[in-house]
Amino acid sequence: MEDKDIKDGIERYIGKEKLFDHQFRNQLLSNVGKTKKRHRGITLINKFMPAVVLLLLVLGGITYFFLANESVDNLTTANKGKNETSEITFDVESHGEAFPELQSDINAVLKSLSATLTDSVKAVSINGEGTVVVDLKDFRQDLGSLTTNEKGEFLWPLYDTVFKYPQVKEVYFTFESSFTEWYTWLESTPDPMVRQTEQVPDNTSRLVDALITNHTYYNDMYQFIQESNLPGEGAGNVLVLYLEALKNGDVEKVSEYSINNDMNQIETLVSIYEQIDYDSLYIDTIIPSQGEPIYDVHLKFNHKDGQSGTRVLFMQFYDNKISIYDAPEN
Amino acid sequence: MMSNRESSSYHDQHHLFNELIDQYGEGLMRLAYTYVKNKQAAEDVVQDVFMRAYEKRDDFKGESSYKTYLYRMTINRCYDHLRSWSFKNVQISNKLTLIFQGENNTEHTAIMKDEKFMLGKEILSLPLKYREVLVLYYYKDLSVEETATILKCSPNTIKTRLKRAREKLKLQLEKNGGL
Repeated sequence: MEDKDIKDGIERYIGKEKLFDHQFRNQLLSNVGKTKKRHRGITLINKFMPAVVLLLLVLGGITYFFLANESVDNLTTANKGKNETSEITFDVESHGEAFPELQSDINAVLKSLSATLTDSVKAVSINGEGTVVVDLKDFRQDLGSLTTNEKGEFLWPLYDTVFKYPQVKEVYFTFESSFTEWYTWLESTPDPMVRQTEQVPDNTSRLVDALITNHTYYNDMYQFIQESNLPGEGAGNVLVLYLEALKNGDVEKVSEYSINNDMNQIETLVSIYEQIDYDSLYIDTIIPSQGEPIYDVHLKFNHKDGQSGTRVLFMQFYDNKISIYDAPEN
Repeated sequence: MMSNRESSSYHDQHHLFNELIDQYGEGLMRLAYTYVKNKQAAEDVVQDVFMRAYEKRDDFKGESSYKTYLYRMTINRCYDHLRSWSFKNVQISNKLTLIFQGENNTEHTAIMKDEKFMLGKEILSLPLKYREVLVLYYYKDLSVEETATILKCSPNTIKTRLKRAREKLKLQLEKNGGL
């Protein structure tokens, strides 16, 4: 199955005829700018009338519940991420308990991102459901105009920091209590950032992303590993970081990924890898062991003096840990 | 009464939206269709997206691409639709219709033999988490980074999902004797 097959398959299933027909286009053009939605006639009303009645009853019940409980704050069902026409605000103090550790952490992260951002967090609180509200001073003017990518770079460290606390399920950032100001600044939608159930982005992932983005040889090796169906999710990350540590002569880092903890041997490895022209480095093949969760990764490359060379690394997968054995003499 | 400047700005914005509708209308319809699998529902989603985008036009500063912005809004509206009562109702109606009509007319049988069609069908029957990354990455030609931005995940999460989606798809195809 080729990549193109996937695209063609979806196209074939959906059909070649235009879905966005002339009639609908005209309808859209005449409706944009009006607040009223398109009506589809009495049949639809009849069809969905029971649902509408039910919805009204449920909404009525919810409204009554919140009105009856005076603890209601701005985080109501009616405006939690849904009502885009009115401003969504949070009263951080009544929302939940203060979270001073996180407040301090976020202040530190913001300061590290921009020297102008000192004491930018006004308050942080968390409720019993793990929803965090982080109320920030409005520092948009201080940052100037950021591109979408720059905003993304700005956001991930904040989210990393928030989600390192396991009790946090979702987070709303606000500028001076206004969530609307925050998400419109991001040109986003009124949804909180929710903890990812799979792989929370961390520094390691970002480092690998940067390496594979900036170096074709890492990207090619990473893709090779991905396509080789090795067990575990992180084999590509480990290999890239291991090779990068060797390239930089970072003995401590090399030992993190290596089975071999003999520092003398690792230093020998560093001197071997110093001779390698990384631009020529690639994975020739990966051969799985017949009996153990070990894979032989065959590397090919040129030395800086132009001579070709090969090395074989052994990647082993035990107890959810990926380690590399790389004998200096191989 | 509007001043000349306001009138001109209104005209410009309306003109811009006409262009956006022409440029992205078909793409958004097809994207919405991969989520809601129903033309009428996809139209509702797309209409809602353009109307909201128009209402919020002053908030859009043009620092991200309109494409990313509109895709993200479309996906969010699709999520809303998939959670809604009307979607579940339509799903039940569709299933009942198939049961009563049967699936054995000639045209239908011919289409079902098409391998690409079957592949598309399998993709769109994957769980949403996997389906959407395949659609955005392969069908809508977005990069991993763009897909990550739209789905609010890290690029590595997208890569993991893409890998798992392909594996799941492969398994499903093998099970059903496809490609």
